[in-house]
Amino acid sequence: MHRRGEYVLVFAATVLLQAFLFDNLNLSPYLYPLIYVGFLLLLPTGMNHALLILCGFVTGVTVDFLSGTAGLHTIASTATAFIRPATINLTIGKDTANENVMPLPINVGRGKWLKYAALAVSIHCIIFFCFEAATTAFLWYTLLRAAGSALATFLLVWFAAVIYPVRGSH
Amino acid sequence: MYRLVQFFKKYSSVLLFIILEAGAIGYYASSTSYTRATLLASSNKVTAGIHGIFSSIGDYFTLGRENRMLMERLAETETLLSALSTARDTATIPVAEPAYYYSTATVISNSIARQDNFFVINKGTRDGVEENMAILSADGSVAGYVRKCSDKFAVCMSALNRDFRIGGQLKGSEYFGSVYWDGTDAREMTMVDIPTYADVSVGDTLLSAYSSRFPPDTFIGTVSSVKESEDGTYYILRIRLGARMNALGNVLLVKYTDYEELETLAGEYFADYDTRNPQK
Repeated sequence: MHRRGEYVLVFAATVLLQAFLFDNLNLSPYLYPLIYVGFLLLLPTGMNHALLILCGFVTGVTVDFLSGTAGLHTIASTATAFIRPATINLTIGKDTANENVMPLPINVGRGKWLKYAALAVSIHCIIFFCFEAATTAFLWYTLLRAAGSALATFLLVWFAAVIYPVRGSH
Repeated sequence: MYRLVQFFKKYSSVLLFIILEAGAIGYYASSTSYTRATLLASSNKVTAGIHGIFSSIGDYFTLGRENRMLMERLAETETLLSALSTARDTATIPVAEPAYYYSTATVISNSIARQDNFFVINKGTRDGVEENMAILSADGSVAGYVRKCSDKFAVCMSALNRDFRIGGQLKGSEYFGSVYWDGTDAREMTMVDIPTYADVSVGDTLLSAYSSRFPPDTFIGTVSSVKESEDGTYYILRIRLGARMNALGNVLLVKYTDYEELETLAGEYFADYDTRNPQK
């Protein structure tokens, strides 16, 4: 895999930001950004599916360990990684899905990237907050939490993707 | 055999996903607040130093307010001590050992955005911290209790955790009920079991009662709304929390000296007994 060191840095940055900053921000129960999903979004488009799932699993386990959430992040991130090829096919297109590019707005087009990130982040947040609630007693509240947190996550990932330093070739 | 190999080759990623996801769901479903606190206590051995740095930065913003609160509480305590001293001078009153011991700690990590929130304090077993000690905010309001300790740190179950329970009694009233967080609003808890013939109004003060961990009459919060249950037999009260859970800095630790004996003998009869998540 190309850019291995770069991805290790992205992984470390997103996981540490999640554990030390966003887990302690305490803005509101409706705004709980899950920034580490950005790492899964930025993995190369043509990546081996099994390896992608393993990356999702490892990311989730790491965040769970640091946050004391006992599997919750792992459930969401493994599922997000599993459906990522379908998400890319649906939003960016099959041609790009078979190439080995880092899915940044500059590489795949801003419009397509926004759809891709919005869809992946929404799915991730819905899975996370539904499993966390584990009840239908406050379903609207759970969906509202998922929506607010998905929006916050999406904006942060978008910001990160825009300022991400792009090298000459990919 | 060839077809079987081809099948596994074709669906290897799906099988991998099912195995990993099932493992994660199984682990999450079987976890309790105790296992989550244990996990957090383990990770804190690695992360506590960094949390401490962030926490010390945050302290600068809350220090003034907390200092004022602590000074007010100190003044109240001095007044009580003075009264006690006068009473001892004028009469021979045997003074019993205190039932509750107080100490202080600083919160180094805290969350309010989840459904099962915990916070971490910078004191552990080497400082005399034990599981089930009550935690009060700087102004003396209910904030949580210690769930798991390591040598230097303790993981505390926040009042904003769906497994948290405490008995509450309206000030000046004989009625009491169970207080818990329903996971919706980080500023409010819910109280049930107050009969509809009781006199309750918005603004009433709620204090701890019949708790095996918290001292009696500890401030929980004030009634913010009153509505009847569906069958009309009891009130569902929304309680505006006294502790500012999103700004916990310095906290008070309270050790009830007879906790072990009481918990062993009659723990299950208390409103704050952990039925869903026994200690181990």
